[in-house]
Amino acid sequence: MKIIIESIIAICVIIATSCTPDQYRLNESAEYPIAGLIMSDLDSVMKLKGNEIMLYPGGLTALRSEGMTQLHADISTQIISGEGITMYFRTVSDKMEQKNYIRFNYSTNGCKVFENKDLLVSVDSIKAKIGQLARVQIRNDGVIYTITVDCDTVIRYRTNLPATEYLILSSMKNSKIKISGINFDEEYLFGKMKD
Amino acid sequence: MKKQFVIIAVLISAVISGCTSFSTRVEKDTYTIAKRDTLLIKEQKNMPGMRDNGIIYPSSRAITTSRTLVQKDSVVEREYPDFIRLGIFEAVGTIGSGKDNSAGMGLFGIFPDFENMKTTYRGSTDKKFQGGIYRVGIGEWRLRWFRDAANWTIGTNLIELFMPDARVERNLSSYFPLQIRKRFYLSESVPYVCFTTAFGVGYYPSQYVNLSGSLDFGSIGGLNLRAYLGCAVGVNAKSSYWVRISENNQDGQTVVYPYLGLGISFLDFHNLVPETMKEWSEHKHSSWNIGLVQAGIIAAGIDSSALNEKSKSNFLSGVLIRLANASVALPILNNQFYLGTSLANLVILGRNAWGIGILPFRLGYWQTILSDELSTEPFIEFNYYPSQFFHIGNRFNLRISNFLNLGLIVGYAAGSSVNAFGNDITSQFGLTSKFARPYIGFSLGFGDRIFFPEELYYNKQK
Repeated sequence: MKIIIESIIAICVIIATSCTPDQYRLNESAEYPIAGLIMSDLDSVMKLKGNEIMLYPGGLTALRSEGMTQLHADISTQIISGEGITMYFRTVSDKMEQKNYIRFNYSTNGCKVFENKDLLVSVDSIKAKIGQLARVQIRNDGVIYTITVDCDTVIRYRTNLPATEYLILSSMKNSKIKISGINFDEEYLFGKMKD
Repeated sequence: MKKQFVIIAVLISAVISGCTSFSTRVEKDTYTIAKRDTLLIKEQKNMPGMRDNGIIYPSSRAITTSRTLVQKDSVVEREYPDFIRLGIFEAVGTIGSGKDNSAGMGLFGIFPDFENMKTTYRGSTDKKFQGGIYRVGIGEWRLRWFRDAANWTIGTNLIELFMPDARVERNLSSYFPLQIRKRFYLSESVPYVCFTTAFGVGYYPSQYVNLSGSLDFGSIGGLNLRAYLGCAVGVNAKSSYWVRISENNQDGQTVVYPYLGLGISFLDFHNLVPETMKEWSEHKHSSWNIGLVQAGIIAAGIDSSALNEKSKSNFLSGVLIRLANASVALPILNNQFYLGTSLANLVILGRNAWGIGILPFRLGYWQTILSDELSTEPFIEFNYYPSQFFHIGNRFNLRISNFLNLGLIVGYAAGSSVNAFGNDITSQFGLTSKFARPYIGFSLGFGDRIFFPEELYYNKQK
């Protein structure tokens, strides 16, 4: 009898705690683990490995490391097919469409950075290539933010938007993108201070 | 038995004290505002008199630059309901079993035969609702399996009881049974209408499975109506509680309980999945008041107090108690009229002057006197079972919190308590046939939420 009761309780706990298919975690063993939230159809985003995800057409996912707003996001993108990827930061996943944001379009046509709907910069010389791995870094340092692709700086600019914990990734129309080597670290103005 | 009561009490208090953790999901976003400041100090300290300045000679000018970064975090917390269903009490009156031993639990299972409420009662043959199903402490949460298939839930109850008929050894009950449900919505606007299929497993003290389908209507003001069709199959071992308290306690029991029933539930709140994505502050409220218990102590000028038979003072002679109360706003005129009811309504004016009503009809008018704090609710109420009496009154409410209210009540009750109660009740409150009395008193609402005009759904629509 005791075994039956314990088994049923265990089943309840397993079912109740494991069934959040729109959430996933990356970099579990790293200093700053990342919580992922699928904001689009469940099949449009897939976690592949410990720090690797795949965005399918229509995919929209939010990544955050709780409490970390001076965010240095370091990811590698590989466009498998389609046009490219859009990244949002200085925003939050809740009611995102109503919130302010900085948007970075990285595509085969070049790079564009917007603050809300205002175009800040358009760089035609930095283009994504299908199948080629590119390292994208977004650094938030107080009012300053910097976006670099590989060794090229797309923008280094100031903003009045408050820094947030989120990096939101969205695949462009009909695009399939592999995001790997995802790492979040804290950006320090005067270098990283250790205890 | 005493041990079981202690366990149940501990569980209930644990559930109530930890209520927000399983009913509310808190999400937190952090925004950081950074301000940089650079302070530049230039100093030139020229010494008086002549100096022998060579070709290479340091100037007396000193420049000090200091940079500061001030970062302020702004944390936003959002609270969402984190349940599909959360309720206090559900009862179902069933037909389809125990024809020769009908317990007679009445419509919705809440109009029992009070005269025969004892374990030795073996039932009769002339009752329509032969048995009942009862659930206390109902919880259902979203079950996101099968690639997040829609409207699946996993749930449990503090206690679930299947009562096929009056023979107690055939009762099936369990603490925290496992229940899985799938809903098909026919109407997704309040009050919801849906068809629900359910599978449940109970494991202690009875072992059973239950399969059912139901047509659900609600919730509105925490009230729900349901029509059930189902079957529960299970066993009571010889050592189980229900067999031990029965007169027929020689053998274990195998119970097959097919049923067709009508049910009602109180303080039972139902959310669609999209509503769990909406903050609590944005939720619609359709009632002026919902509450667990409203208890009052009253003076009715009766010679003998129902509270203490031996007391020489008869100043406070009785009590008023409403259990699982709901006052649902009527969307007519200024939305301040309401229809109300309670699971049970006790109007005990004094010894030999009392009435008990189940599911009474109440019509009232809700008037806010002071926003957020004071309100008044004149009402007229008809209680038809088991006692028959009219009750008119007015209650002034002072909201202490969302969970607690104080009240001043004045009223008049007149009718007949009807002599259909067992000895347990009549020995406490006395025998009576008719009563008519005014009263005045104080009340305390516990788990009692008063809504104010700006919180009402119908007013938000304007």
